[in-house]
Amino acid sequence: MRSPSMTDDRAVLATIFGRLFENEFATLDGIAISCRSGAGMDYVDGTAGLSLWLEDEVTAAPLEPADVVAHAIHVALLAAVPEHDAVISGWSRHLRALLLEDLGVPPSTSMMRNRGVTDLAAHLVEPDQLVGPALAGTIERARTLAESSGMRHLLIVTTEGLVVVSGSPPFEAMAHWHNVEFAARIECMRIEGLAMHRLET
Amino acid sequence: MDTGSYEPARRLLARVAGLLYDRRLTELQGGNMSLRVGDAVVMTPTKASENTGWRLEAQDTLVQDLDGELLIGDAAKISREIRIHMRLYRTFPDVGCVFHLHLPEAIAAAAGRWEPGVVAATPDPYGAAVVVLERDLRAQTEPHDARAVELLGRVSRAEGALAIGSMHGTFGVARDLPTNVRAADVLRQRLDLERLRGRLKPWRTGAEA
Repeated sequence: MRSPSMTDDRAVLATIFGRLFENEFATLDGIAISCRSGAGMDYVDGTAGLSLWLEDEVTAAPLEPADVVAHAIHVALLAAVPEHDAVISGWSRHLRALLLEDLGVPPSTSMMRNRGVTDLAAHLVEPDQLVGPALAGTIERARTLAESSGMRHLLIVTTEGLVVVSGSPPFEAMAHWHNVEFAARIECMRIEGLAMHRLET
Repeated sequence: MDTGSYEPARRLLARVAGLLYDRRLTELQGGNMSLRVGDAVVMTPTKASENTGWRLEAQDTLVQDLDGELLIGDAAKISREIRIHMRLYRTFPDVGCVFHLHLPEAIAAAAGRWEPGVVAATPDPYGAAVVVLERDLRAQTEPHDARAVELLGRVSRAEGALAIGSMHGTFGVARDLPTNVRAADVLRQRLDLERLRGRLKPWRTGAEA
């Protein structure tokens, strides 16, 4: 049960954090979640997300974002896409393993294809395209790609495995974000299974 | 301090003990956690894993001051590991939380490729500093505890630090509880990523053909 002092917007952040963290989709290393609110934007990242989810009254929760780069991305996305209510960013660890081993991006699952993501490679950007003056152009290209693909959400993936999604409502954005890690898990399992099969035959 | 003032910390520690198991950061036959509150320490009881499966309630936790006087709970339920917790709190005023976890990825790394001593003096590359105790040091002995304190004193504790005992587990210290969860969790994730990459490496692009 959420504490009476927690606003609905903060409760959404806490729930999204918990659902992604409990199932090991999100790691404390890089997760950031924001929702549009009356005050502008509610935002948590990393261990502040854990504290919020735990309703931690003991630890002094940080007032400032721990990840200023992620925070800037969230602010820019919500400003650029008024129809979206939430942004989720974080590492997809299986995608990161695939990319670091030059195994490319995983094939889109039907869940992704049905939502307009037919080729994950089309969403790849270099990490420096998410900082500074390059960020606005990256968001604009993601928006154009989303419109041409019939997507309800924006998806940006770095070549290091950081996944950024904006969408609406917030839980749908959460599902879009987790779809990438889910597809990458399947691809890693496929490769490992193939390797085992070849060793046995 | 009014004993009721420990309640938020007792609730938090009880919940996080279960979370640490759910998140595969410890197992069902050992581990203990504590949290500093002012001049006292809230701690999990002995055999919390075996007796409850890490399903603790706030009233299961104990509170002891830094001089060793039990403030809340049954003295028979104090874990023998609490000695090293207290030693860490007394030695390092910056430490607000101590976890002893049976973290398999860390135990395996310390039993294999990592040599005793300082593995990572800073949070890079494992998210927290990491030290490894000598393999002949037995847990719950003075030389073991002294060496853990000495090694943890040589590394950055800003994002948490973990001392790994041979075939035993980790002693993680951090300024607060969320940072200590993060230290263990990120270490596990990064070791897991390394193992995953190792399994994928033979199948780099082109190797599948």
